[in-house]
Amino acid sequence: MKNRGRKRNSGGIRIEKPRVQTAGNAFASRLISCAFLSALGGFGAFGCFYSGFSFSFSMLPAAVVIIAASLFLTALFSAGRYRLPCAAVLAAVFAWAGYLLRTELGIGFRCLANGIIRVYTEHSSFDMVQMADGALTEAAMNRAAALTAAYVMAIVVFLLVLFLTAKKRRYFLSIIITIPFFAASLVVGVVPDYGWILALILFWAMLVCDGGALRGAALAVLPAAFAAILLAIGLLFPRDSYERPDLIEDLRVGLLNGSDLTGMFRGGGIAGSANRVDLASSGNLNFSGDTVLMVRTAKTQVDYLKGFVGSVYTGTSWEPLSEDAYTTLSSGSGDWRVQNYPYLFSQIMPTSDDYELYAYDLTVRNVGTNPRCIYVPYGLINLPEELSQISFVNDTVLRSDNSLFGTQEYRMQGLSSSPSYPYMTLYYRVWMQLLRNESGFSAYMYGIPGTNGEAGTGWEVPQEILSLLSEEQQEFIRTVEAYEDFVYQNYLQVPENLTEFLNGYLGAHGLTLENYRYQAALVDAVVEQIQSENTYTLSPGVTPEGRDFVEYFLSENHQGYCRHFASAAALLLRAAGVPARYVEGYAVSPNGEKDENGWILLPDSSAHAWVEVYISGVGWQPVETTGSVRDDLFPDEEAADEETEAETETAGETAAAESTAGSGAETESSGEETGEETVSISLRTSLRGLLAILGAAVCLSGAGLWLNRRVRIRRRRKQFARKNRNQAVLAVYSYMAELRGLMEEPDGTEAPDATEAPGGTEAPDGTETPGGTEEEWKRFEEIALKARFSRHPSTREELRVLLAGAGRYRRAAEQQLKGMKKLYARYVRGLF
Amino acid sequence: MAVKRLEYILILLGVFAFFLFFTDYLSFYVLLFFILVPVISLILTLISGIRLEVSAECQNPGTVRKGETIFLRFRFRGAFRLGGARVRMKIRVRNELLQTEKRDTLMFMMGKPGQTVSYALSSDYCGQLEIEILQVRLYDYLWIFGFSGTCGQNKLSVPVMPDIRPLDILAEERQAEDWESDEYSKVKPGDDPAEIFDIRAYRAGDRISRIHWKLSSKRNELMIKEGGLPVGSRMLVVLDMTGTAGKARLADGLLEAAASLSWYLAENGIPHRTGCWQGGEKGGFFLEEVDGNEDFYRSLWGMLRACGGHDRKAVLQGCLEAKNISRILYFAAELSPEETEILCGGQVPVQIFALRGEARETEAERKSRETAERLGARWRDLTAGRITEDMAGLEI
Repeated sequence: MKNRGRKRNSGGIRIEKPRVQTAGNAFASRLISCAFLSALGGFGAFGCFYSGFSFSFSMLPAAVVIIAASLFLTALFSAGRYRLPCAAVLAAVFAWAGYLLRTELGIGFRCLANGIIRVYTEHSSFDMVQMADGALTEAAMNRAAALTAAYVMAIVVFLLVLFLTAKKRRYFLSIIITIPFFAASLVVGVVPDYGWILALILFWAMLVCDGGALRGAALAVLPAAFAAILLAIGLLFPRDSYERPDLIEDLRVGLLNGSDLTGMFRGGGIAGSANRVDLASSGNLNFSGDTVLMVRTAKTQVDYLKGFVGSVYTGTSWEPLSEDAYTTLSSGSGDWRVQNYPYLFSQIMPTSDDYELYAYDLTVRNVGTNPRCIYVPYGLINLPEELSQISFVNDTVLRSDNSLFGTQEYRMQGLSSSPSYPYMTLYYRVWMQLLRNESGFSAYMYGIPGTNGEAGTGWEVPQEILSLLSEEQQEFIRTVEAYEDFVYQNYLQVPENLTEFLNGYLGAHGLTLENYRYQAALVDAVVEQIQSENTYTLSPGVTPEGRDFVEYFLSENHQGYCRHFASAAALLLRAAGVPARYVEGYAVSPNGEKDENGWILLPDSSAHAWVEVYISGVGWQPVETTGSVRDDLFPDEEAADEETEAETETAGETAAAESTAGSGAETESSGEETGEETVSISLRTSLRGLLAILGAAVCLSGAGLWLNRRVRIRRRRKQFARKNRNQAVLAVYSYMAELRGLMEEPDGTEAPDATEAPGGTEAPDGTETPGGTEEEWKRFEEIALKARFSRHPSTREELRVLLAGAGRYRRAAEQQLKGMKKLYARYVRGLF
Repeated sequence: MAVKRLEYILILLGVFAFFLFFTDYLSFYVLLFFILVPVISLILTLISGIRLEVSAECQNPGTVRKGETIFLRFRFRGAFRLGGARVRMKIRVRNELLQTEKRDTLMFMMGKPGQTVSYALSSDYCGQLEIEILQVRLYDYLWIFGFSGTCGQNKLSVPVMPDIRPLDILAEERQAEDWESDEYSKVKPGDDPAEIFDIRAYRAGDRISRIHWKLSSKRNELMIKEGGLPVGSRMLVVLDMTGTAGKARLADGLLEAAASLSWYLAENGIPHRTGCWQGGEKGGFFLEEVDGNEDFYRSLWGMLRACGGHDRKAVLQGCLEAKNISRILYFAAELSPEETEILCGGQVPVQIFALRGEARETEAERKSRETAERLGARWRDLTAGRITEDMAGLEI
């Protein structure tokens, strides 16, 4: 009974401790319950300890002691205020008995300890030395062990009764006393006998229910009910058929590995989806710039790490192929996984192009994106059994085995790719094997259609050729052919309601397999067509409800980011007969930003989408569909030179630098032509020859100028789309300054549209000016100065403002400039 | 029982941690069992029966004195087939005079269908003790699931009487005859035929017109009707508890002083009135006529339920509006000078008894006293615990 608030003096009111009038047999009930519980706890604890370590001494002495001690001590400690003196006396008696029996107890302790050590040594990696037993007989040791066990259990029962008969019953302490006996063998994975476990659990349950104070029928009913439940659990959920839930195991592994708990909740966004990509809600993008992936790679080229593959397009999403579809895939693929095909091809059916390839180590550390996604390179070398806690998912990607925490860091090996991969057909690989075998069938092979790189081959190796190959090669080819059938069955599908639109689009632009000899060329043509008609932007808006994502992008919106471009390309390629899939992941450039430890830091803005197409002699290969949005993905000499130039440019020096560069570029671009001109001048042949030469020079110059313009425009686009926003801002500003300089009047006055027309006034020559004030130019200058000198990076908004201004200036220049000035600006400087 | 639920949640968390990190079947076995234990406990409790009824009674007859033990008995009844039912009861003991209360919670296990629990409590101060059972619930074996019980007699009232101090004062009855008064003396006869004081046998000199002929014919002897004596004003003993909230000793002393004086007057046959403010729905300033000992106890019951009132002005207004008052004997604490002026500014003579908790007079008290004396009232300081000494020599 508990009384919360006895003897408090509140406003003079005193409440004494209440008295519960109990029946005469309540005391007896309490004794019985206490004795029963202490005996139950003692037996449970001892039994778990005895069976857990498989001791062989007799249990009888301990059992007798437990029962006797439970009864005697319960009666003794129920004496009310004499409890403590009795406890003190008994403790002294125990200690005295222990002293008298110290020799036997010492032997018994050593026997018990040796038993424990033996089990620990057998079931763990610890190597423990057993205590010396003094060369006693087994019977003597067992006797001593039994005595020691009985002595220890007497102490345990003593403590149990003490706690159970206390005024404030401490059942937590009673549980704690018995836990070591239960857990001693569990720590090394040895489970005691379930009978003893049942007794101990029953004891704990009774303690939780304050069983020490039970009276009446409850004293019998409650333990009986608990025992029945324990038995029922064992019958309904038998041990043999028990399977631990994967979720729990994932949680355990994650916690033991110290996984980042936030990983459970990370996901979404581009390259963050493990199961589905929702296109309907793909609207404007905002990036935080936080690092989400850290990569350490030895690859010297751009590496596409795929995390999600979309096989089925629904109009509003990309989804994986259903599991049912994979049942059609022959089970004869053996251990060869599609994700390893590029590597397997290079190993089993190598060609001369494969000798240029190299293996590289790749380590990925996931710090901010979905840890359940495993970003894997296309040239994956590791086989499924070589990757711990990572599984291959059908023919698409890899996934972490831990569905909760994912895999934070993993290491794998990849194989670099060859530039000839887009053209690498199975036919070519077989041909190369035969050549290597010097079979003499090479002439025979030349007569068979489907030479190197033909689009849509679907070629099957004839049996007579197959028999010339090794067993492994034959088996591999059969696997690959079966998979190719699967690919063509499943990865050419487009929604029915979109077929007409896609075919129309392809037909309108001549993008058919008939027009292109090689599949690779068709792929390039489709990509280029999409890029030429659509603008890259991070703010394309959301696809209107009811509209197809790709159809809206291609026919109306014409704005989007990688997801739009990749989705459109995948569908168009499928419609054109090229097996293609939509992929999301990360494109890693070795030139990317690195930290002091050499980790390439990929921010959330690095998440990317592209297409992969199936090439019969390689497997799935990535195709970049969005264009050179990120300068660091496609580094070239021009870009390296531009970066060096941009670092030294200032606002005032911009035009002069550009002029110098322009002249230089002009010289570079028409290098060949200049040389020819020099040659032509020195010739002094006939007038016809001179005219021919002059004509050729003019043509070449024209071609050179045209090429110069294209190169400059392309270069400028790259500069404007640089990842380093400050450099992009400076590039835009220098462009605007150059345009502004060219639009100056011959007498030196400023062009009205650039400085004096706030809302659009007519220039003296009558041309309507698009607008642009002095204030606006000053704003541009401020942005450029900030980009040049400030430590803070330029914002997207600032770049957008400059780009919009550059557009206005360009249009103004196109309208305003006339004659040679215009030609110069267009073809020499490539300004528009 | 939030604590018990929290304890069990902690147990479940510990078992879940065992299940999480120990991969063997045993961990699942233990987890499932401890998840089912509350369910079993609930089922067994429902089978055992959840009907619980409790009633309360006070063992002490009548009133009690300060410090005297009050014995309460709570009887719990229900049909518990299995026994071992857990019961929790919350009670509240409130002193209406002092506006203080104390709560207590009792938790015990019922081993049989009926159970009796005895409570002993006492109060150091006088007042009306209201004892109420706030809540009684039956719980399962784990103290997790609770079921409300019913209360039969769940409120008890026990008055704790103040100590009546013997007073060494001089009080004269100045009760004048007032032929226009509606009040009549209850102890003395008069000549007013409108009110019959008594009917007695004829004595020589009695008027013939006073003979009760009807009764005389019945009794065969002459019976005379004695007229009543219309009396005038009385003294008014006012108990003002304003400002004593949270000051049990002060409130107790105030009531004790007022009650002691009223008792003295009643003992000495001096009719008077008592007045105090009582709270509650039907609260207000109540007056009681005290002509004898019986009236005193009735008036004391009322004073035991006195409270501070909305503000002192309501009390002042109540006592000043009383009619036929010869003198006001005002018992109060912390009377401000303004309030003193209101009280003493009338026609009726006032005697103020100011009770204070400290021996030293505060500045405000001094000003109040000066104001009272200036207005012709009499002022006497009283200290809690020294009533008899402080009122010694008083002349009323």
